[in-house]
Amino acid sequence: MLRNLLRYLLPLVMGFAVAADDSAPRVTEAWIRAAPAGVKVLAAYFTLFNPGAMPITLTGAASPRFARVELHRTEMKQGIARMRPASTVTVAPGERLAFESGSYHLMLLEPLTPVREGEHIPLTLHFADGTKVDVVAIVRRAREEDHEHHHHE
Amino acid sequence: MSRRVLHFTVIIIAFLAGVLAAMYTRRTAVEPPPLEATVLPLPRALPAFNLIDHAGMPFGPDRLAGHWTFLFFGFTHCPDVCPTTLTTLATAVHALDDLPPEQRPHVVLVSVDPERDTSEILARYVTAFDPSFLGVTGEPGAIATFAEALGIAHAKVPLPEGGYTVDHTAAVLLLDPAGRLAAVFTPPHRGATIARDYRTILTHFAPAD
Repeated sequence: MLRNLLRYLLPLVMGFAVAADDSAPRVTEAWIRAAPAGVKVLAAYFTLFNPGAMPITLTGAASPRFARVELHRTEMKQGIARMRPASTVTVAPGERLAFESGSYHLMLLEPLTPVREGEHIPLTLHFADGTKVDVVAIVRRAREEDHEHHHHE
Repeated sequence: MSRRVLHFTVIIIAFLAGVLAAMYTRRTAVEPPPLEATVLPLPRALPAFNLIDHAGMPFGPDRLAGHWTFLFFGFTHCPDVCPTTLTTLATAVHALDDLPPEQRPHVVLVSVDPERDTSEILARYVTAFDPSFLGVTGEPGAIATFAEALGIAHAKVPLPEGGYTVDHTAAVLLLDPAGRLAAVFTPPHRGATIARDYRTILTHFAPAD
């Protein structure tokens, strides 16, 4: 009974930030692209929503499972894919920003232990005002819809 | 009298319908559906090359003969664009499973990071996307010459926190069974679109030789 309850409740909790108040940044749909064994660099994606009245600025992230986590952005220029570090990412009040394939993502470097498909990996997002948001990302394979970009800029 | 007119009208209409039907059939037989891929007016032959596949075997022009090949340039330390493209290509080839084996495309990832991408690393990497995929690496100079012949730009760029990334053209290339560059697919890539375009190219643009 309890196990069943957990089975239904857990997915609801997954990927949601543990936020103390209503104005704290909200992170949903966090996932890490499952990578072949031995891969040293992975990417994490999520949607970042700013419900507050002030802009929020993401300055970095960390995970106990990786030696380093960096903010990156993929850009396509004249057909050439370039990946560049992003020092900060700001989200205006009431806006949401998709960290998705072909755009912003967290680059997870040097896994300390092998990362397996189906695992739940903790990530902590750091914001300029000192806020820290804990997220749990699921490791899964990409789906075709993850690759359809929704850039409304 | 009116009956004769009616007969005449029926004959005329039948004739016109026949002409239209013939025109339509002819039209569809000749004109291919629109493509998102760019088909080269003339397939471009490649200069000889000498690379190494993920099993450590030589990979030269003979390895491109007798089948169509999707070629993508990337590297295994690439967390976003490369796995996305390989996943898309896996979707595309699965959508082409119904074709006879000799018409099914092969998929080859050529590493633009030969320093880090050894045969062993590539073997583990590409086969995770599809067991049929082949990884190719080689001497940096040989990779550069091969990439240049195919119009693929690539450049190593240091990262501020250490290490480096590689900028590279994200296009998927289609080589014909004579090992010539036949078509270019530019991003964003979609598996279903690549599969659809491949069928069109096979039907309407396949080389006569």
